[in-house]
Amino acid sequence: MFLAIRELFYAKTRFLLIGFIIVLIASLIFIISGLAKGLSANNASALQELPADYIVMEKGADTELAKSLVPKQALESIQDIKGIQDVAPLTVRMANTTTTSGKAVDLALFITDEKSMLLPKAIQGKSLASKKDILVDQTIQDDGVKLGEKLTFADQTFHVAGFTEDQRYSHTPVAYMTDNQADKVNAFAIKTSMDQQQVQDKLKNYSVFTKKEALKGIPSYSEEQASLNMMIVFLLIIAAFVLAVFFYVMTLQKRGQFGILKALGAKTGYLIKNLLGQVATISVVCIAIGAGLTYVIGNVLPDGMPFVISASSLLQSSLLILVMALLGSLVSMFQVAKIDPLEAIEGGEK
Amino acid sequence: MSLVLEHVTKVYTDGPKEFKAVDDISLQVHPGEFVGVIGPSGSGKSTLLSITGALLAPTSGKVLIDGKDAAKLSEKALTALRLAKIGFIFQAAHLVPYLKIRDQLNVISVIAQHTGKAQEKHAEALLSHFGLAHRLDNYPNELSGGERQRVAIARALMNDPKIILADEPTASLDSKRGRDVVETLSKEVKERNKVGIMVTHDERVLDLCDRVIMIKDGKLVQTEAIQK
Repeated sequence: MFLAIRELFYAKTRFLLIGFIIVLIASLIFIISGLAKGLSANNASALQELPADYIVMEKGADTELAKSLVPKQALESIQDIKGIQDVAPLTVRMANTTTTSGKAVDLALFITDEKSMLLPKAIQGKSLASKKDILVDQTIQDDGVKLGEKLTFADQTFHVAGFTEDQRYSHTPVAYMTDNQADKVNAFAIKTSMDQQQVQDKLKNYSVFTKKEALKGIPSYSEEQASLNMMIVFLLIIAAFVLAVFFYVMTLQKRGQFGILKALGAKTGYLIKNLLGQVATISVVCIAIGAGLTYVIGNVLPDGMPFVISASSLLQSSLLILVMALLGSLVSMFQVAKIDPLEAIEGGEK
Repeated sequence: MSLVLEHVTKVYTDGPKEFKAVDDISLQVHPGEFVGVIGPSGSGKSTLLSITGALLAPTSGKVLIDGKDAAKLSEKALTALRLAKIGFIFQAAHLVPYLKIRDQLNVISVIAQHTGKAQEKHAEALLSHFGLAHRLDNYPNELSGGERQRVAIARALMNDPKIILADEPTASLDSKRGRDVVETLSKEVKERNKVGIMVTHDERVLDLCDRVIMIKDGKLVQTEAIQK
C-alpha cells in the first residue's frame, strides 16, 4: 500500500473525478434497491408477513391466489394431518368503497376465520370482535379513514375496529375480516415444520407454494421487481466497467514506471497488491459516501414514496459493488503482470 | 566477488532469420572497477546490459554473479537477485513521479520487506551524501535533471548492491551535468568497492572509466584500459 496511498494523494484530481462517478453510481444503486424494496413491501407485505409457512392452493393453480378455489370443509381434514400445526382459510377479494369524507379507496379484503392464526395484531384500536369488524392497514389513514369509521362495500357495512402495519397487497391496504360464508375459499395457509415436498406429498390434491412463490401470483409483482433489478444489475456492470477502463488507462500510462519498479526488484504480486489496494480504497470510501447520501435522500423523499432501506440491504449492495470494482480491475492486473522489466532498459531502443 | 560473463550469446529470431544481438561475449569485471561500454546504436549494448542485470536470459553462455549462474534462475529468483545484488540507473533517471525524494529510496526498503527507522535514516544519509538533503520532501518534477540523476544513483545504492549498472545516465543531461553525474558514479564505485558498468554514447566521459569496451554487431571488438 506504500505506493497506492502516495499515488492517491499525489494525483488527487483524477482520483476525485473517478470517485465522484462511483459515488453517484453507488447512490443510484442504493436508491433503486430502496425503491425495489419499498415497492415490494407496498405490493406484497401482507403476504411476506403472513404468519404461515406454506400456502395451499387448488391443484394446478399458477400461484395466483384469486384464481384458486378450494372447498372450505377440507380445512378439518388438513388440520388432522400429522405434522401440520395450524391451518387457516384465506380468501382474497379486491373491493372499493367511499369514505365518510367522500374519497374513493381501494381495499384488499383478506377473509379468514375468527380463530385464524393469520389475523394480525392491531397497533391501534382493538382486534376483531364481530363479523362486522375489520382490521385495516394503517396506510388507509392517508385517505382520511379513522378508527370506528363505517365503510360500505359488497353491499355490507363494516366497522374499522383497528389498524395494523405492514399489511398491503397489490398496492392497496389490506382489510382483514372474518365474515366467511362462502363454501369455497382461495387457499389454506398452513404452519408446519415439514418441508415443501413433504407437505406436497401429504396434500396430493392441492398445489403447495412457499410465500415467495405466491408473491409471483400478485399482479405486476414480478414485473416491477424484475425491471428494478435489471437496473441494479446494469448499474453494477457499469460500475465495474467504469473502474476497469479508468484503471486500465492508468496502468497503460504507468507501464514504464511498473517496468522500472520491476527492474528494481518489485514482484508482480507487490504491484498487483497496490493496484487492488487502490481500487478497494476508492470503492470503499465512495460506497460509504454514497450510502450516506442515500440516507439523506431517503429522509427527504415524500412520505407516499415507497422507499425502504435497511442496513443489511445496504451492506449487501455495497459488497456487490466492491466485488464488481475488484472484478473490473482484473484487466489491469493482467496488464501489470505482462509488463516486462526489460522495458525500463530498452527505453527508446528496440 | 566479481561479475563474470562466459561466452554469452543472445539470439533473436525474426521470422526465418536469426539475429545475434550479443555474439559470444566474455567479460570479467572486478569490484571497484568502473567499465564503460560503447558502440553504435543497435550494436547490442543494451541487450548486454539487460543480460548482465538479470533482466534477460541469454540464449547460451553463463552469467556468474557471486559465482552463481543467473542464466539458470527462475523469473522469481531473478527478481530477488536484482533486488539484492544489482543497482540500476536508467536513462532519464526514471523516478516514480508521485513519490517524494525520500520515498524514492524508501520504496526499495518496502519492496525488500526491510523497513524501519534505520532504513529511513540510511536513505536520508545517502541523499545528503549526494547533496540532496534540502530536497527530501520534493517531488521529482521539482528537481533539475542532474539532481534527479543523483537521486537515481542514491536509489541504486540503497540496498547496497554488489553491481551498479547504468544505462546511458548522461543521455538527458548537458555535458557539464553529465560529467558530474558520471564522476559521482565512478567515485562511488571505487569507494564502495562495487562492480560498475555503464553503457554510454557520450565519449567525453570515458576518461572517468577504468576500462572501455566497444561492441559492434553484438561482438566485443576492442578493450582499452584508460591510462590515468
